[in-house]
Amino acid sequence: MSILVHEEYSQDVAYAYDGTLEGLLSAIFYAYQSGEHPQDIDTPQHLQLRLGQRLHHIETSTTSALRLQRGISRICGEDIFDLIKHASLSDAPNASYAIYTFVRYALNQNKTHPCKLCKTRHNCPQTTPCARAKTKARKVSSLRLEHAHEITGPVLRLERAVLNERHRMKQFLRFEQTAQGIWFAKCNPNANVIPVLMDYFCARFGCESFVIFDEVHHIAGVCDGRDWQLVQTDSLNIPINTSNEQFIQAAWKCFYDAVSIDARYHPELRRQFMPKRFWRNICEMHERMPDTALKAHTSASDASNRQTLSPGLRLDQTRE
Amino acid sequence: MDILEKLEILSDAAKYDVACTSSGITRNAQEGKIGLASASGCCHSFTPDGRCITLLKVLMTNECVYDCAYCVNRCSNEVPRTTFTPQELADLTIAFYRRNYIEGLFLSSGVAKNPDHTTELMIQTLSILRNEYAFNGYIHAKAIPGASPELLDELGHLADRMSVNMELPSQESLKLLAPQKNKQRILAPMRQIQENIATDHETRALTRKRNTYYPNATPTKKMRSFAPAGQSTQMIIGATPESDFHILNLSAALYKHFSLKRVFFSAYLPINQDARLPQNDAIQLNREHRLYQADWLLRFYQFDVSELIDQDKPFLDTEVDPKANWALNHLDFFPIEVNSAPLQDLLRVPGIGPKGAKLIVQARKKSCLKEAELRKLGIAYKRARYFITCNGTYAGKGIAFTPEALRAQLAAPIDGGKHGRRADKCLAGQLSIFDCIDQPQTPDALPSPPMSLGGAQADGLFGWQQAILHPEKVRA
Ligand code: SF4
Repeated sequence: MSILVHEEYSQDVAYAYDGTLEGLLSAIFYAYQSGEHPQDIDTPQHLQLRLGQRLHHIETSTTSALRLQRGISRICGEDIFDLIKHASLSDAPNASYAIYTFVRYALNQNKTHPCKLCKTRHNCPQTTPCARAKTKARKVSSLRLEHAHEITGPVLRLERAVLNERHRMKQFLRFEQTAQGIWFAKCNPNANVIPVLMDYFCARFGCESFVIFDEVHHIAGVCDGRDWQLVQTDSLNIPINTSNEQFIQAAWKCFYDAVSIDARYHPELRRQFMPKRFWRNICEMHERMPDTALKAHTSASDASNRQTLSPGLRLDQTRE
Repeated sequence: MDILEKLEILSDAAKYDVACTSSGITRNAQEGKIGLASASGCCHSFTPDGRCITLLKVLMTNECVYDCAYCVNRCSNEVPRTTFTPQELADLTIAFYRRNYIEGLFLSSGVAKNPDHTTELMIQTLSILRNEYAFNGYIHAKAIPGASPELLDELGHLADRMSVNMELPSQESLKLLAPQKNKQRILAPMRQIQENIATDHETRALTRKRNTYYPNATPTKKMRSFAPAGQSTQMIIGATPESDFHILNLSAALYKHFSLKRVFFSAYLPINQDARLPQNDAIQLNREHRLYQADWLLRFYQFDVSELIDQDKPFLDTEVDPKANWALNHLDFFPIEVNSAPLQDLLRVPGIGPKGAKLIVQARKKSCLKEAELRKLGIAYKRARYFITCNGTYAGKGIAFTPEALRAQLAAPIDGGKHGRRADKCLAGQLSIFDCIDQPQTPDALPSPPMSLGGAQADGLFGWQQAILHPEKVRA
């Protein structure tokens, strides 16, 4: 892949992609292929064209995304691809562009062939990188140590933010049991973390089916007790809870109230650990929220419940 | 009595136990079992006082026959009494666990009838969880001092972490406030737990598949390992006159000789009216805070107790944290060069933590670190700058490099928030102008010790340490 820099294109093009990781990889692939250096990469909704900038819509192409993925994994190592994957889940403005510059930088830095350090490479019969090269590539890449670098630093920080948000979700998701025996949780994270969350909850639940719905990104992770998949959906139809659910929630609230020690009351500290933006999906915090916020929220979700659109996700149908 | 009421009573009674962590062991999910455990732990909620809720922290029973002065559940208190049945408690744990409310169970108990009976109840609960529900999450069990070694052994094989409450930092205080407990009854189970963990480790290492000693020694029946997440303990601070010097030395000895994972401190809260207890309204929360800071220095910063505190000044400084205090007393050690200093020196700089120090060591391989880079790495530059040079330039100019001047810069009052006792406010209804001593910190401001204790050095300064080191010398 030769990199030709066309000077006349370099300043004035912006890429719009569909917001998925595949889309982003396709966009980066296209930039390499056409020799362009886009100034902005973002989803069409967020993109604001600068003066005189040309807009290019990138078609998501799985083949080119896969090819770039393989290239990154081979040249920089699996863990650098993981880094890109995690960072791409962020909602932060300019995240895509930061990743784009990082990919260029990382591929440039690690141009060397993985076999380069191998002593027997001159009379090696293998044509593909061998197991030894692979273990070498899987080691923590030195790119991960460049915390203070101007290109790598921001991407590492994006990843850390996404993984922090994932941890928050591990802490604060609250499941409810619906009448069909499916567990359901709703969340409002500030990064699209469901893809990196599902494996953890699959393991935690053992073999039960559950659904996690992300209100912000309108994505649901559906697990049938064995495998999981992502569903993009705008509406949600939650069946009623089991009769036991009310009781357990009451018991939990009762426990929550009982363990607090009045003499140590320190709400600032609690807010620091459990930010208010999560409270509406944490059942024991409902009573402590200003009524208006909660009401506005519930009535909105009621409305969306009532008019179930056809492509929406119906929980009662997920299990055949 | 229905479960809700029981839960309310028994969790309310358990709330003064401080050790609420689910850390120390990683267990991956297993086919057909519920749950997993991760070494870093996971807090699922936070109480209005900012403490985390990780485990379902309850007592098996609060029908206690002992009479410890500081405890809500002592038999001379008039409180509603109740007991969970093992089945109820197991059901509740599983229901909470599935809803992602908790990481597991923290089971403590008052002494119902006798220690053995209580321990049996606890064992029943845990075996329902582990065997019937195939629960694979975290369980922390409190060993009851005085229970028989066989029962303790059984309990340990079901739990992940065990703990025995040390209760008070000296034997004299224990005798005064908890007459039914004594040093031997507390140290014996601690020692047993430590030994069991060690033996368990050894046998496991020996019976591992590929070894030269026992070629075919794979155990036929798979046993759960004994308390794989180790043991911890806790003690009450401020109910008795022991100094910080005493307490820190004791906890260092515990880490060293009993290989404890954590020692927890809990500031004494006046719950009971009792002539043996300090009866003013002060809670030594700030003291607890400083003790924890010192504890962290011992565990993660490779500090030694003798560096933090000495007998002449037996209380930690309230104005500056223990680490800054050390730095101020050792100014000849500073400033150090961030771009070349070894890791253990970086750890000594106020404002640089273990994480920051590691990041610095990694990042300086690639770029030269200056103010902007250090800030990006998340170093508290405002504090650190007085003690470092960045590529040869000293960044703390303008402030004289003397202990007094730097002290003023580093002084960090403990942020107690705007509410409650931590903000130096008394609770409504308990306001008393004359005996409200605000958080005594110095020896002379301490609540005057009950007469029978005889001065500040109850039981000799190292009473517990003696017992830890030489079990045979101390009479039961
Ligand atoms: S043994 Fe003492 S500390 Fe424990 S519950 Fe009974 S009275 Fe309380």
